[in-house]
Amino acid sequence: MRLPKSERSLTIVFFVTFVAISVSAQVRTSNCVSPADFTAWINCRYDEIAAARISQRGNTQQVEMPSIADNTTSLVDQSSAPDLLGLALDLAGLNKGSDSGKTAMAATFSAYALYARGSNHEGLDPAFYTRHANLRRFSFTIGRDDGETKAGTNDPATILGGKILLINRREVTRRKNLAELDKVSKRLNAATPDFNATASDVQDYIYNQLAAKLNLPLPFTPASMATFINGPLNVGNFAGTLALLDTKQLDQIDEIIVKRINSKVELVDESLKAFETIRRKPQLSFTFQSKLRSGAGIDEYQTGLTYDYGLYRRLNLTVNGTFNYRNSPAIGANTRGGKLAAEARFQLTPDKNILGGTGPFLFSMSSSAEWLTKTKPTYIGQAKFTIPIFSGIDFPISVSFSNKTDLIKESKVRGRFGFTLDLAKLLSAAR
Amino acid sequence: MADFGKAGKRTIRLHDGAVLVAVSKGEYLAYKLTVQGAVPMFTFACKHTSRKSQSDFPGHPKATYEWTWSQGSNESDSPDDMYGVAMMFISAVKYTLVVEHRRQDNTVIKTLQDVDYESKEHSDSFTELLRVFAT
Repeated sequence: MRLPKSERSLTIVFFVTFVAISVSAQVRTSNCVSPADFTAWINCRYDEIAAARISQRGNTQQVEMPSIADNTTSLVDQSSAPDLLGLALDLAGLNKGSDSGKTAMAATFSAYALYARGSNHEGLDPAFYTRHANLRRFSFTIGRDDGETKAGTNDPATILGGKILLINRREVTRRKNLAELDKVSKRLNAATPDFNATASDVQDYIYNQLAAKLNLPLPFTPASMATFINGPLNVGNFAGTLALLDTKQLDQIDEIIVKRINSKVELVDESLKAFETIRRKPQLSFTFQSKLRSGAGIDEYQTGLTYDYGLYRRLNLTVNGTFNYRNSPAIGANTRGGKLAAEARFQLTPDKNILGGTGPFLFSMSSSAEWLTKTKPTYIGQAKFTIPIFSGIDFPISVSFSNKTDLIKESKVRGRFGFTLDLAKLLSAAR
Repeated sequence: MADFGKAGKRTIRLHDGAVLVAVSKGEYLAYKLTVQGAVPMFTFACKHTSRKSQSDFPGHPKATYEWTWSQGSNESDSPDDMYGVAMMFISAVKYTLVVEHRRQDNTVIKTLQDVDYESKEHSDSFTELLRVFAT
């Protein structure tokens, strides 16, 4: 019996949809596109399959990405000393193109970077880096601040500051941290032979599968295999060779990779664990910062201690206590006092932003209390949500509440949003 | 887009993926690995076993690590083997690998590999491969 026309149409639509879904389900997904050569491609596929294995495991076994207060992804201190002459000229407003009344900038650098530059030594030479670990405890800030000030003056201020890391358990060259890295090294020793064997098997498979198409002798000889590897599998040719393989053959290659993937999974686990362990260790620092103004401006001084600690996985806590002093040219107008502040920062997501690049969503809550002579206590609370837009560009949204400001007595709620730029990340993303 | 891992960059100046080494005539391979960072972490291995890692070198950590394969004696496990130098970026930011095929008198037959590997992402790693047929 012939179906009515409407039911026939519906059946055809359903059938086409079913076929489309089935086909799409069979399409391989891989980000290993446009590899330079076989080596780059097999490294990429190995990483992808290992990552898939890790994400398939239960939540309790997943290694959480560490919460990092300064949002860096490396254990290596890569700060470099600025061009001090250029910096001095900027501060003096003598650089061309610099508006001396409106320029705002600051540079922070470590004594290690300064010493490396001064001694004309490569700062990332591992031997030099290890020998001078203590120099990385000292850092300096020089800058210029043209923003709003609590002192009620808009005079530009020169910023001079410094920090000493009294406790720095995150220094990668410390004995205990080297022991963590040793565990990773052992896993690397176990995983590398497996990877090499897998790569060899995959090369053999590709050769055997394409021998007819490429007029290659079978079985292969050392000379014919070497020619194949240095030709069709090498830089400039591999993309075309890869395109000759069909889905079934690529699936077979994945089967070869899967056989020995466990050692790679264990290596990735150990590496993440070591990184998290080192980056969460505590740091205690002594800080000093001054804002110096000329004329009728008020000089501000602040000194204190800051404690930074990765509490648990993605949660980082920073606590600091400071002594503040404001030196006014007006007689009897000096103020001094103390400030206590705490911030808890929680990394909400792994390192992914809304456009797929690097950068986690962050939520932080902070509070501070300040007591100054001749001024009522000031209490401020803030909640901030940071949305990563692109690698190097963040969008922070914050809500602050304070019981009073220095100038007005009413309680104040303020909301702010803006963009932050990390120039180093932007430049590395552009490469 | 990264050349490897999340943020890795691989700069190739010279690259062969395979070589025939007449070990019986005294030919050998010479490796030189230059590192920038805090603590290099790498392994040189064949497909059967790990051969060398960073801590096997006197003076580690240092900027340059050099070693040879089958200089003076045949170090191959089999006439067809895959050798790899695996590099981790958890505590280093740049490696440069140079591999030379040399005669018994130490003259260079060919520079097989001259490649830079850079990454500031701690989770990145890369293994450079060389298929070696020993005769």
